Amino acid sequence: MKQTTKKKWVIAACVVGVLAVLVAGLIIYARTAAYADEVSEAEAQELLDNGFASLGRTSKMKSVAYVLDHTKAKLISYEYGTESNIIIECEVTAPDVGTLMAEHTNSLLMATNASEHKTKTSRQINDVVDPVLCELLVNADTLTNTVTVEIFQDGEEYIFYASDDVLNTVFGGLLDTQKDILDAKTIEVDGEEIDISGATNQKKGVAEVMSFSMVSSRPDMSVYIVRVWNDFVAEFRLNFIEGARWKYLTNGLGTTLLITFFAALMGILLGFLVAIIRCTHDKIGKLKILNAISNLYLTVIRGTPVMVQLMIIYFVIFMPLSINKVLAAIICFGLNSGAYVAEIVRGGIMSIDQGQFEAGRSLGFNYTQTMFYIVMPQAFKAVLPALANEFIVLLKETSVSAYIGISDLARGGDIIRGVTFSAFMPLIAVALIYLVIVMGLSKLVQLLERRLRKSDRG
Amino acid sequence: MIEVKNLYKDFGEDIKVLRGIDYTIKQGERIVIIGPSGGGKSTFLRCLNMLEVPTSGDIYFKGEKITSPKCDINAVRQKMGMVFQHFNLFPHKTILQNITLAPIKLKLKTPEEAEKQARELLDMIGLPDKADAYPAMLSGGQKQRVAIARSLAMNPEVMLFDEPTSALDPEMVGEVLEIMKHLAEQGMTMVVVTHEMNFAREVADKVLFMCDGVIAEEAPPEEFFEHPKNPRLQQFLNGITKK
Repeated sequence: MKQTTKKKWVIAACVVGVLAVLVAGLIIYARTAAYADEVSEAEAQELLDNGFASLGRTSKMKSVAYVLDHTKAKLISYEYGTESNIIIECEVTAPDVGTLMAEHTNSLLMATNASEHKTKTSRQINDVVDPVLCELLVNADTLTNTVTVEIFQDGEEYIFYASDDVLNTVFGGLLDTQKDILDAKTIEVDGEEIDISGATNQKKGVAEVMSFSMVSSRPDMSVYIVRVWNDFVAEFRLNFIEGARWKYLTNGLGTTLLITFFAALMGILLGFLVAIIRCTHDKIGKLKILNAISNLYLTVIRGTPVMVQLMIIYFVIFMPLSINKVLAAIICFGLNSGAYVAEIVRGGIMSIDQGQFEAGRSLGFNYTQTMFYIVMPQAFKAVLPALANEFIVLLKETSVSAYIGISDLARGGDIIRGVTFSAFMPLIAVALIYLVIVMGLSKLVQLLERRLRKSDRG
Repeated sequence: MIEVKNLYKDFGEDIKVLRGIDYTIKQGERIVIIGPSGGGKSTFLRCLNMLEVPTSGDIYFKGEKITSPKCDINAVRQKMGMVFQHFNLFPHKTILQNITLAPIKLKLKTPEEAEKQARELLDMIGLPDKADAYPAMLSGGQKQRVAIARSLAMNPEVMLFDEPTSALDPEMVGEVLEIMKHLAEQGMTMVVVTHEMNFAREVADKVLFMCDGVIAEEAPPEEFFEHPKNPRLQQFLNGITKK
């Protein structure tokens, strides 16, 4: 006995050691592989220039080309980040497009307000606005700002990344202006207000003339395994932390446990009652009417799907009386569980030797006392595994209650999925929570069984 | 003490197990019933405390008609101990609890009184150290001794034994019969269905031979074994002695 325990410890220590080495290796690998190649100051400046020039690579607009031609970035300092990125601080001089467009919003929109433009797409509107903007740009002011941009190295290629905030700063609040244009409700023509709230294409066309190609979110250039971890953390934040979405799960879990607990309670009471009625009828032939009712109950409940029962109980019986949904679910699952518990318990009672019953009666116990003191305790022990199984099934079956609009655990996960459009995390979380509860339940039953099995050791 | 009048018992249409039994068991008498299998011995014994409900006929216990539906059979059974072939101890209770369960739950004794009496009974059957054991831990002979103690705990006026040694290994038969002899010496009224001829010879006041649902012969043991009159009994005894 002691020998095997020792062996176990040695194996555990080995496993832990191997895991520690693996993790340490991974971290070192992640660190070393995550730096960009070193570049000289001149090379950095070149990368910076190319970066800003690349902002116009998908635009055919002359105005965009003009703005980028007049944008000069001067490197101040640079350093290497841990995500194979070069972080560059630079002084950028650029035309103040944002202010310019804000000042001329009215005329830009006016240029496209003629009836001939009404049916044009936003792309076609771009072409109309572009020359107008080009004329205005000649007189644009110049802005100088110090900003930080990043250049990521991906193999041989370099990816330029400037955040929205940086671009907004560099181009004089361009992004804010674009947003204002998109939100505009009216324009004033000769002192007369014209409603343009419906002219979506027109507004879009004007706002997006000056659009840059850029990486919308900061590229993640870390080692694959780190990136997986980062994605995981981001997913986790999105699904559970943001907007306190974890509450869908905890509230749902509460509802699930509430329904399961009271349904199980009701199932036990009902099940034992029905089982005793049926056994009494089989053994001594009394309780004919109750037995018939019990049989009908068992037939109906076991013969129809629980989902249908739930919908009937709620939509047909409870809703017209405007009674609580959760109560309806408890009653439905209690009724349902009762039928299965009844058959399990009846099987248990039937499995007890008739001699036990006779021994009880011969001592002077009446039928009820014999049942209560002698048969039931033994039957309970015999059916405990099957009973536990029934309640595990019940716990999982309550997920059907979403059909009557109850936000239980399963539904909670589904709601998160609907909001975040990511299926993996919330559904796996739901599955894990069910799994943990079921494992806990099984453990509890195991302990109870061990206690009851005390009398079996020969 | 127990009066049986014209007792019939059928199981269904065709199986007539008891075909008219009249017999009276007096206070303090030790009756041993022997006979071939299927002769109705056990059924007769089980009718005495109404574990089998007779098809017709009457049974009186101390003048009370226990076959009547008005009779409180549970109260009568408290006065009639029964020992079964298969012991039927309660496996989920300890030995002590097996013995004290009925007296306590039926409110005949306080738990303290019941436990005191149970320990005395355990001393009597020679198992004082098994009080906290469970039936599964005992040998067959020990179980049957506990079963006897369990019945005695109700202070019965009559004890019914339904083949108490038939399920035991041969070396355990003796210890159970010892207890039964001890009971007999104390003057307990006993009805014993058994195949132990020596026990019948030593202990019985009267031996009954049951065959084909009737009492075919009744006599004191000496006469019963030495001068059997009934030819079926002669055949039966011959069969046994040949073995």
